[in-house]
Amino acid sequence: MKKNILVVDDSATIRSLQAFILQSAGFKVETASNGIEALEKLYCGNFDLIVADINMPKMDGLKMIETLRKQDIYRDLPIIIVTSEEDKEDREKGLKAGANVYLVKPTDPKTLVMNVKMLLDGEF
Amino acid sequence: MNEFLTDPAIVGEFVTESREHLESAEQKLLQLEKTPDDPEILNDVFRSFHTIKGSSSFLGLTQLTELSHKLENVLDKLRKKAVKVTPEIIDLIFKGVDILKSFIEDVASGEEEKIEKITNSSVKEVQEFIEEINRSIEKPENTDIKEKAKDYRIKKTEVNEEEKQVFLSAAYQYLSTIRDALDGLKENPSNFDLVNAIFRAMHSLKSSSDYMGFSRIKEISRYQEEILSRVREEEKPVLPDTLNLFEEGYRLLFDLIKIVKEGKGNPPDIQEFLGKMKKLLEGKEKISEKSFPKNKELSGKKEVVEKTIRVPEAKLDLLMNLVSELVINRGAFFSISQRLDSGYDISRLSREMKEATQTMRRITAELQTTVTDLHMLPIKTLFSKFPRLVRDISREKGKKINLEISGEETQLDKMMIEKMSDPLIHLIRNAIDHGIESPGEREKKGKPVPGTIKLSASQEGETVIIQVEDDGRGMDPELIRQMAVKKGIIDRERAKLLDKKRCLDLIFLPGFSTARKVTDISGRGVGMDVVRDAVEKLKGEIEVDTELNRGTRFTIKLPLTMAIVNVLLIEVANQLFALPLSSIRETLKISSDKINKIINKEVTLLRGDLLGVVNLTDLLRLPNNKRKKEKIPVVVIQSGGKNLGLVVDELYKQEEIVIKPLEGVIADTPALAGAAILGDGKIIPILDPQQLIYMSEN
Repeated sequence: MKKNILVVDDSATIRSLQAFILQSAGFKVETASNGIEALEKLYCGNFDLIVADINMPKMDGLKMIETLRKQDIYRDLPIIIVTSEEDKEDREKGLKAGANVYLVKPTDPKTLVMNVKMLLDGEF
Repeated sequence: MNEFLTDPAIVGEFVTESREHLESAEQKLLQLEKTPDDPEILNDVFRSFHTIKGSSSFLGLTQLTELSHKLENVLDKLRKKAVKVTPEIIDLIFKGVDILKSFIEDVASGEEEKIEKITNSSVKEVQEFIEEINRSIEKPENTDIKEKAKDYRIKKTEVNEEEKQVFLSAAYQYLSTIRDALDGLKENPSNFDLVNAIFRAMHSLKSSSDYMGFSRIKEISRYQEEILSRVREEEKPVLPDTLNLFEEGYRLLFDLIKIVKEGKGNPPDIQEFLGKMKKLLEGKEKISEKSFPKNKELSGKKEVVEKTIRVPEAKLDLLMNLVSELVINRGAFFSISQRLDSGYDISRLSREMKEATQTMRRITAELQTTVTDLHMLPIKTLFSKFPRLVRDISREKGKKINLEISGEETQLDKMMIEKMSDPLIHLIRNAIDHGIESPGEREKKGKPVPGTIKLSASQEGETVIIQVEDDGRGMDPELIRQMAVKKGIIDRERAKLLDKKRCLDLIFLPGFSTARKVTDISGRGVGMDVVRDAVEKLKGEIEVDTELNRGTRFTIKLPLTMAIVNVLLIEVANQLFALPLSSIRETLKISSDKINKIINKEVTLLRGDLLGVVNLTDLLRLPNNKRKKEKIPVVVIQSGGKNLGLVVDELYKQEEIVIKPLEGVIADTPALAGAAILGDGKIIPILDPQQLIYMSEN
């Protein structure tokens, strides 16, 4: 079965770009434009991994990750942050919040896909 | 040890499932030899190995995983026609199946040492087998990248530079997450958010290094992840010792990742560290404040996998229903007894009592059938292993043999099926080894070159009949007589008196074997006497029929089930005894003058045939209170094709009883098969007809 990925980004361009990259790599992709929307999708769907931005309206990426990590079923869900904040401090915040990996935009397609694959236990 | 391996339910399920898959694989492989191109069969076998691979990896049974993975590869090659189906390849796959089987049984045994061997990273036996396979299928290893990523043991020979950079960048992030969380845990060992963070990072590192084929990194992170998952389960503060181990693990991981980054350097020795982790996982040391009971069980008593039996849901439902009815029925009895106390209308109570008793009788009868039924299995579970056996032995002996199996659906007590396995194996081995002639000899005799062995089962009344029949050279009673005398099993004089049938019976005596030399097949120290003993222990009988140059047939008769038998109650010397109905031919009343003495033996004429008669009181050496009667009750019993009339004092009714085995000093009393408790609490000894006949002859 195809693995299901949720892409969370407020930019429509980035959303469709990442969706395209991941779909080409053989994954099923759904998108959300902010943290709240992402949580709604997560609660009704079944996802294997999240790719999320940090700066978003309504609920930002860090808050979303913290919310998820508090719940047992999302405790181990792989989350990749893809953001344009490249400060060391931001990266630390991201990891502390509970992200598995922190990637800085612009991420080249291969790096994104490979990080996704590395986190998916070799089952894809 | 893997946490799932300590769960008897999971391990039991795994063992049952794997046994089923291996059995099915064996059958399919035999078919495959006949129809080598059948893709369905190849797919089925492939799937069986695939399933075992999957579930064993889940349990951390590394060797099982590796072996089934290899076999799966071979099947894949056969499927893709990269390798041809030959008897040699099938032999090889069978060999693999055998190793898998022995591992599965090791797991089932629950013995820690054996299981640990299978969880090891390398076992000689498996390595050698894999090399043997590699040699025989010319292309050694599947070079598919995905395969490599999955199998951590296969090292990637060259690491793609681009991929390496992506890995390193992620790996350093995992490391920094671990570092921060470890520091945090030192200050607050109860912060589970931090434990979760390390778990996540460890898991990420494990799967990433797996992707890259970095086996050392993978192993270290795998073990730490497992320990972390225990810590999470326990929900107790992490012990300083455990933290120190994580610290050590962190340093090793850091060094290893540095070596990846720089592309040079000597990898540190991780074995010692892995050893410590294993020990911790096996529960010999505490992980967090309080170790949980699972650990204690593991280090203390071994948990042996329970014997399981698969039960159709419908039967279980039926049982449940019956039990609820029983509970309701109990209520009825209770109410009656209460009202009895308060002196109610007796006639009404007695009617109610009768009704309640009727209901009770129906329920217990149904319960009895259902539970007995649960204990029954189709004999197929036993027969299915013989095609493989026949194939292997006949290949080894250079004989061509068709095995014809019939009556596989016949049901037999599960315990008996297990106990019949060895005797049947021996009979079949004998048939191939001694019975069926070599192809040349058969041709000379004008027989079809392939020999035939028929294995059949059927049910007749309360008896299950199993036959093993071959169309080989048969046995010569005369030769058997001479051999027995020569071997000193019987003296010459007595041997002369034996008729053909009794000559044949000599083969069941200890120390008898007509094989001219001990072959490695039949001469494994098991003789026909062992076969007979096994059958008799099950209250069964074995008979042999043979005709020179036509073949030999062994007939085994077994009671359908061991526990409940129909018996006839009789009385001798003021004592009640029970005789199994299955061995009673008839009961008679004859007048005392019809019994005559011929050479020390009492006989009577029954429909023109001589019937040996013996007084049961004398036979059992009970005190004889001779009350001469005109009409003497006689029970004619039958066993092993022989009849005997037993003179008893009184014949009573038939009864259905539950046999209880005898224990202690009376267990060895020859004439007794067991004992039963009657409804009124009386204990009745059950007589063993076969023994009685034997005793009357000697």
